[in-house]
Amino acid sequence: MSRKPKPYQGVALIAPYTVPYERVSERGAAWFIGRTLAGMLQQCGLEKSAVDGLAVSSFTLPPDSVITLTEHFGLQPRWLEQIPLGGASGVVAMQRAARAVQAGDVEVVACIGGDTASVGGFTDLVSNFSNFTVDAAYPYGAAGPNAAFSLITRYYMDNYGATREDFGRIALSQRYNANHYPDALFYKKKLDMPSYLEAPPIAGDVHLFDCVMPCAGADGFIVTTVERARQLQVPWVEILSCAEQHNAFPEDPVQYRGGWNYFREDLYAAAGLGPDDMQFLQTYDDYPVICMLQMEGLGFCDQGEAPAFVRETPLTFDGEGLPHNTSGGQLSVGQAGSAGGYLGLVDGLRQLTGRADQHQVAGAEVGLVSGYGMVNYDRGLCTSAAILQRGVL
Amino acid sequence: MTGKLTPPAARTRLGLEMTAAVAPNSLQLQCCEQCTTVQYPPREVCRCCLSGDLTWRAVEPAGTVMASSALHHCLDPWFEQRAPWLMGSVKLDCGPLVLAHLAAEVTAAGSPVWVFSLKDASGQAVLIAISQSLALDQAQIRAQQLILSDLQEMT
Ligand SMILES: [Zn+2]
Repeated sequence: MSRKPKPYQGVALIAPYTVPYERVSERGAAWFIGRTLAGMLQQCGLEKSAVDGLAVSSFTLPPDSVITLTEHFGLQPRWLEQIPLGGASGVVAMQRAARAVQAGDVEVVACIGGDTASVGGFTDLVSNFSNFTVDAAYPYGAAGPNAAFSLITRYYMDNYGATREDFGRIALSQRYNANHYPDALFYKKKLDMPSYLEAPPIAGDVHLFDCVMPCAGADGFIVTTVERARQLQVPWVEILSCAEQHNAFPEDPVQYRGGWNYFREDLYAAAGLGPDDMQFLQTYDDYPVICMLQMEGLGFCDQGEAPAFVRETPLTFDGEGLPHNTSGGQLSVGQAGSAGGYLGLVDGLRQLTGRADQHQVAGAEVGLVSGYGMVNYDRGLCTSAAILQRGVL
Repeated sequence: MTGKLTPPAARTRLGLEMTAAVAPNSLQLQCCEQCTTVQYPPREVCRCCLSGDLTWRAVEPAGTVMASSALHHCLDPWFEQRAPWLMGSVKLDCGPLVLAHLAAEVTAAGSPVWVFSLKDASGQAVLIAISQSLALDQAQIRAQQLILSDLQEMT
């Protein structure tokens, strides 16, 4: 990259909020998005009328959209954004809102990812996800992401010697974290290695506990100025650096790396920090192999070394290794559609504002949030990442 | 349920073009008339030079299996009834990476395969990968047999 992005000075991330997830719901996506907005405003003491920007990500919102939501919610914004980037959406919404706030176009942007989950709704979504899906994946039984990720998983195991037990370490540590996060769907369910390994196969080497549970829910946060956060007397988080990259390495026959490898050096250089400085890592975890690609792509270990890394490094929020997916991630909290692209960021904001209660990473001041999403054919196309730091009063 | 269950028949307009291009014993893919790129899945324009001048042509059917998977659960009922179902990704010598039905003997990564485009019981085109241990003409016969047997022998 020849041009260097300007820093994100003066921008504050506040009011991380999650509407508790539900397995299925008859409510529309607007309920989950609207209740998240209400929760965010209540948390930071802002009036609804103060919201002058809205960014939304949702698969189940159509035929409605971010503009129809303004009438639904009684908002008069002067900045709108709808981000269809799946698991990369949270960081991307944050980045775009931050620039709009920094430029003075807006002052209070609500960023929300949320979806409902009707009975049968998931099948409808995946069977008509994209043109490539219809023509070139669905005819082979590869409806939904399981098949594509089973191929990525198999290729990674063949080339780097990862075992199912290595993937299990990721799933188990996340379940432990979820057992300390009351809003997780699996809050009360423990998971041990024998149960992980013996779980029924779904697709190839992908077994039940490698897959997320589709559900309904929403996550969100507000992007505003540091000045406004101070006035509101709420804790805030600042962006040290962030980046997005899409359709990286299109010539790789199977995905074994992603956009993180493109922007990693610039990301750390802009923050003046390195992987060792990160007090937690939130990755997009649909499926464990993708967590490994992010650990490698973001420099926590070398390419192909993630299996060894997860064997050597405690990944629980209180394990004093690398706290990873501190609320349990989608694997153990649930995948509420587009909220899955926000979940890690929102929990990162909870960690950095000292609001993570039972699953708080002690003394968390800086952490990394990564995004990944949108399988159009055989791989995820979107990547994003941000280094975040607790704001200092 | 009315009518016989078939493999998924839904295709986009470009997917229907692939079906229309099916010709005996060959792999027909979308080729760019401007830059000779062979591409898959089908696109409206060339992924390389963005030309709209695209033609379906017989291409070299040789490729290598990159990864395979046995699908134990499929959202589509035709596959769910036949699970576990074998499919995989194949890197074609002519360029594209394709998802395809895999014959049982080519599930190992690195297996050299022939890939053919044929119409399945839904009447739409699909790709099938057969071992290169068979000569090309024998592989063509095997691919036809598999299609006629409703792909039953594949798993
Ligand atoms: Zn071309």
